[in-house]
Amino acid sequence: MAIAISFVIGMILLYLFTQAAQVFPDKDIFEIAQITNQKWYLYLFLTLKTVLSLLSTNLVIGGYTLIVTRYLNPEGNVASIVIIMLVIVGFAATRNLLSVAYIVEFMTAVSIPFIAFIVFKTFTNPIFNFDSVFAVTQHYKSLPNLLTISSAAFLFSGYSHLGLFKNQEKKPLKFRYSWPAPVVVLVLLVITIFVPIGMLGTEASAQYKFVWSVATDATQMPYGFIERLMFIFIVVLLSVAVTYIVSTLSQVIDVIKRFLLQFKKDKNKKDPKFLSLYIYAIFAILVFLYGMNTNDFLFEELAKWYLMMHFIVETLCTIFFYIIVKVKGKQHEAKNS
Amino acid sequence: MKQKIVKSCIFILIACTLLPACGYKDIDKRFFAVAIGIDLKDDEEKPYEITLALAVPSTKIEPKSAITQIETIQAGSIADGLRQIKAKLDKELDLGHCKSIIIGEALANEDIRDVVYWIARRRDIQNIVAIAIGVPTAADIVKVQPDSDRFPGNTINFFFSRDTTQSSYTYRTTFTEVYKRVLEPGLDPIIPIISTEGDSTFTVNTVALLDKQKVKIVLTPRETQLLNQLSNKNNYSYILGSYESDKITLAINNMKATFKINEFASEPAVSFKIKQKVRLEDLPKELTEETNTNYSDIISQLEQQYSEDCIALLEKIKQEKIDPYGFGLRYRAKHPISIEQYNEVWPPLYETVKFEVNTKMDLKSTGLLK
Repeated sequence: MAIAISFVIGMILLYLFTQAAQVFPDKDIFEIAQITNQKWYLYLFLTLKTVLSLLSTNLVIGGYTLIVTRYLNPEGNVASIVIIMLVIVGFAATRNLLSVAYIVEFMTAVSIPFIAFIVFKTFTNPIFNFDSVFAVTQHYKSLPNLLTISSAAFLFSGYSHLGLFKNQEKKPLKFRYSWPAPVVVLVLLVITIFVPIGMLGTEASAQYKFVWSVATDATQMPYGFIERLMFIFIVVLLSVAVTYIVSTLSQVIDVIKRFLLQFKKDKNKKDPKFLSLYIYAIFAILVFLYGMNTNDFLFEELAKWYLMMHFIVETLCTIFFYIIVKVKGKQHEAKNS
Repeated sequence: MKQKIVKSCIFILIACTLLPACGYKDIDKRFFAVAIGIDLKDDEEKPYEITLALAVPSTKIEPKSAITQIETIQAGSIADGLRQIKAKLDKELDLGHCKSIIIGEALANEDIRDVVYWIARRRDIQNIVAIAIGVPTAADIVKVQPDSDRFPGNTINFFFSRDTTQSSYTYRTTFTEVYKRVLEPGLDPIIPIISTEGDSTFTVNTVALLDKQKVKIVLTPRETQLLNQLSNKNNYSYILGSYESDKITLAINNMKATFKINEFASEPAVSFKIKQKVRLEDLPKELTEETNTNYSDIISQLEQQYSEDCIALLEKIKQEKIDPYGFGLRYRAKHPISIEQYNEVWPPLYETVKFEVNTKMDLKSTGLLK
């Protein structure tokens, strides 16, 4: 039932967001909050998004370090893996938002064929059993909790990234034909949940920590240049995870930079060079400290809290954004005309 | 100028982050275990005997050129045994290339769960590793070095590989499937039995059916073939098996078996529908003259015989209170019940269930003779 509820919530929030975003097509969220004089939204947005992006960076880098030390290189040095990832993410996340948007587009285009291949291979594995899938779907009437709804709704929350990306190009983004997005995400969500259950069984899939890694490890490519599908999965996971972190962090760094530059005393003076790098450095130090002191249990707890917080923050931010634009936006337009 | 120096220093620092990769142990400093055998001994303190077949790298690939080093240890637990074996080796032990894990007959008759949970927890053993029960012991299987081996562990790996031998008597299973079946309510494990005849080769033509813990019944080769066919396992083989009745042999080119559970009927039943595309391989000369031109009378007789054999096998399995086909899982897939409710409802229902098998054979060819 969490899947159905999250789909409905995702559609509603997407509608609210696209409707609100089109009122000021050449302005992003930060600018809209400024011109409608809603500083409280700005502070709320900034604080919550900063905390969330820090958490998500921790989780992705910490989680990926766990996967690398489990499957790829058990003797690997955790510090070096974390530092390499921080360097790569830092280089990409401190570029301007337009470059980051192109990075996201490019990585999506490159990853889709591999993801489709992985899904196809696992789906057509002879040990895939539909009875296990149906045994789980029989419990669709069970009431979900906040964690399950948050986890499912996380996939539908990608629209929020457009809040800062939409006016990067000369021609502002128009939100046409946005309804297929939740439908595609719903299909992906169903595949993400049910393919490992069909492969591994209802009980075994609940016992593993990294279910998709195990499911792809159970799939063979006898005529491929690599026999284990798991290695391809881990590389694709790395590319998608880094893309997500770069996109999230770049937005937060951009918003913090613009917020700090508001307090610049001499407006004619040039902006300080490497300001993005200084902001990122603070994130990097915190993430490095987490990466060196994390363990499996902390990772799981943090992931649960992150998903629930993310759901609440995104819902509130989207609803407030809609209200601000529709109420205050009208006042602003009336004032200007 | 200053900027160039700063940028160069940053570049060198970044390059230094790649240096930890130099610590990775190279291939000539590793011993790859290609097969693991685990037996149960009578010793209470050290019940497990672990036998490893370690590949010794060689440039030759002719038959008989494979060199395998066998290491054996007896220990209190499997993980402890492997640690102790590492002390006997000059190179790093690598289980990432292990393709077969053989469980000894005594251990399979006692409890396989310790082995299964250990493999599941290990990060380096592949989930596609083949699992088999070794008769008389796993060590006897692992120690065999057939003449046809081009690489260490080649022969035993090929028995369970989908792209080599395609015998319908060989049931292939991977660790993922065994672990799934050990944990899944309504689906019980099936593990093939591998035995050795001297030091030359192996025989894999029987299976053991287990409850969640130990072996309950061992099928004959003919029953194993029937199990293979009914499980739709041999989708990639050209000839699935041969059916023999009254000196008639059919080759099954293609087969599909599906089942339905009718739990609300006056007599609960599981009905199988089997569709086969067959080819006549052998027919006595006297029958050729007796039968009609399209052999329909022989085919209908064989359909009846095949159905009866299937029912006999299913009843035999039911007597042992095990469910390798997954009838219980199908029941769970059709009813929204919890595991506790399932454990109360299904076992008594399964005991009373009747099997109905409807076989349809479509004779595609009679070979080169009419």
